[in-house]
Amino acid sequence: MHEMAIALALIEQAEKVAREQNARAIPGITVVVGRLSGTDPDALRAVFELAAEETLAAGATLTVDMAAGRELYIKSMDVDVEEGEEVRGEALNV
Amino acid sequence: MCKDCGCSVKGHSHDHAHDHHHEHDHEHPHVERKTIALELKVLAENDAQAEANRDWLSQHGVMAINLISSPGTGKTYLLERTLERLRGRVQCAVITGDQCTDNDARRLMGKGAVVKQIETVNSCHLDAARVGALLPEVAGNGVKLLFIENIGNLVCPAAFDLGEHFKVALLSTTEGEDKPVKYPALFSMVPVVVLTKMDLVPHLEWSLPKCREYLNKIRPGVFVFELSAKTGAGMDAWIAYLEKLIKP
Repeated sequence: MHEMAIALALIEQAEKVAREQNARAIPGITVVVGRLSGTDPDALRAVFELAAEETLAAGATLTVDMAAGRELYIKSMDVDVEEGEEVRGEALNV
Repeated sequence: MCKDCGCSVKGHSHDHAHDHHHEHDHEHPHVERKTIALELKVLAENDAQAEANRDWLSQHGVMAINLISSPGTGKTYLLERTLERLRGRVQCAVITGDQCTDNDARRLMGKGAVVKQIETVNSCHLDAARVGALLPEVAGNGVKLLFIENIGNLVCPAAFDLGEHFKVALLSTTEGEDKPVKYPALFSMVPVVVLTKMDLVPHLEWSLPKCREYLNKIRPGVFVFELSAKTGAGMDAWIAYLEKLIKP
């Protein structure tokens, strides 16, 4: 049962990308898990939620795509990025 | 656009009396959700540390072997006999991992090798950071051969590169012939398998041809040692192999 270590590493990698993007949340992550990677997808899902607490990925949906080999990588992630736009009332009073 | 509420629906009116307070002097941040396509290894950090460990070992002329098996296969016993035989001929070191206790380290001490125990407590495997932190202390000073005795576990240790040069799986005759096909993650990746407790074969319903068949199925061409660390049978070949590994 090393899925907690996998989940923590997964979130760490995802947070690194999210910070580069100035994202304020990671609502979803898709990982590819190889059958020979030694990682159990159910166990990973089970610990992911706990591992994600108080991180940018808190409450994120984890999608696991199975593959044949030793793969274990993040295939994609959703990020919520705040745009620097300021919308003020005055602008609407045209 | 309606000047009261800012909407673009035409023809509605705001002739009621209450105040709408449409001041909007706070910011409305726009949050955009986007999907980023990646191919980012989950264990990238461990892999990078493992590469650094491998570089360190190569620079210091150390060959490192990661020994992986179930608990009770005889990793420590084989190491005890191995260190005794290599004493005075090859400078060895051992990093041994267990969840708890330093029993293994104490068994391995006094045989001419530097020995260091890692207690992982709640973890089921060693990782590259833990091993890397010990390398200068354990494997400096002329060490030629470093054995990393992993936690007894056929699943998790297979996933974590420690920076070793290669992995060796141990399989004891009492575990049955079919462990290689039951635990393909490990057995499909190791170039060398050591069959231990061969002296027990007469007492077991265990077939060497069947075991070799399973091994070859999961890892064609795998190099197999058959030995008994207890009786010493097969140990010569194992020791000769280790000595050959560190020849320049």
